[in-house]
Amino acid sequence: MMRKYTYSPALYGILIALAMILSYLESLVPLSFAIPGVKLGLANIVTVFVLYKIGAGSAFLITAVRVILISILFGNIMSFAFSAAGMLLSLAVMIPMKKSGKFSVTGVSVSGGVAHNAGQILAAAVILGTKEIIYYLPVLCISGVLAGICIGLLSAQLIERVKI
Amino acid sequence: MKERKLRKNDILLIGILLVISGLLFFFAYIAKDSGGSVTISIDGLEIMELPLKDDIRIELSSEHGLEEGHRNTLHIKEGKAYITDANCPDKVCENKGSVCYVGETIVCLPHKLVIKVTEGIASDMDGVAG
Repeated sequence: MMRKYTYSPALYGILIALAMILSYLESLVPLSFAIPGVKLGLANIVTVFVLYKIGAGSAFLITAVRVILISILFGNIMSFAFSAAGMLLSLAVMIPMKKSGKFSVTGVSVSGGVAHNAGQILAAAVILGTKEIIYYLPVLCISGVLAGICIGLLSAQLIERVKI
Repeated sequence: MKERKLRKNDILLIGILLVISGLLFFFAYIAKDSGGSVTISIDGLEIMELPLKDDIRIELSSEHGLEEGHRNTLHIKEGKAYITDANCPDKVCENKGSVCYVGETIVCLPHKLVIKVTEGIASDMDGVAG
């Protein structure tokens, strides 16, 4: 019965819209006052939720569409490059972590958070051609862990309670 | 389901990541060294090097290679460099505060501007003397 809805365009539309709204809400309350790149990543709740409820391919699709649309609406080519690098690396880590079955939602989300920040730093290092940006790594590693824990715990609740 | 609960592996993963962050912080800390000068790069191109010992105020604009209308004012005072008066949207470069250790940077992503502290001449002399 559940299968019926997992490929519905309407459901994908709702999930993408939700992810975009969460991205937008977060941009209204900037946490990155001192260190660039430090943020909670509320929209990733949707990514983790879809990863568990529907599947890896759908999680990739929904996250990619969200990143592209948010960049078109509010960002520029640079912010798109950073987001895309973070997104690709975090999904590349989260999908096998989930498949391994050794970690809970929180563990998967934490690894995704750290991978996302690492991806952004790599993109910044390549685009700006400066190695010194690596000095942000310890801060972004910790912020990735903390954000990952928050997103993981929230997502775990949603995965358990929300039926699609 | 078991996927929902925090497991031992998760705690282990979080612990390991925090230890790695701590080590990175530690290495970044011991590697710190007061710099002798700052280099200014715009869009990956190094445009000038300024000594940290002199007090200077320089307004970076399109004549230095920034895009038209972009502006950042770099101050060097008492051995520290900082930016004021930037017209970038996020003001991350202003909020970064002052830098003085080798390898520290002020990055203004919207303006593709990187200010980096380097050893410069002063530290080279110390190296020879030491």
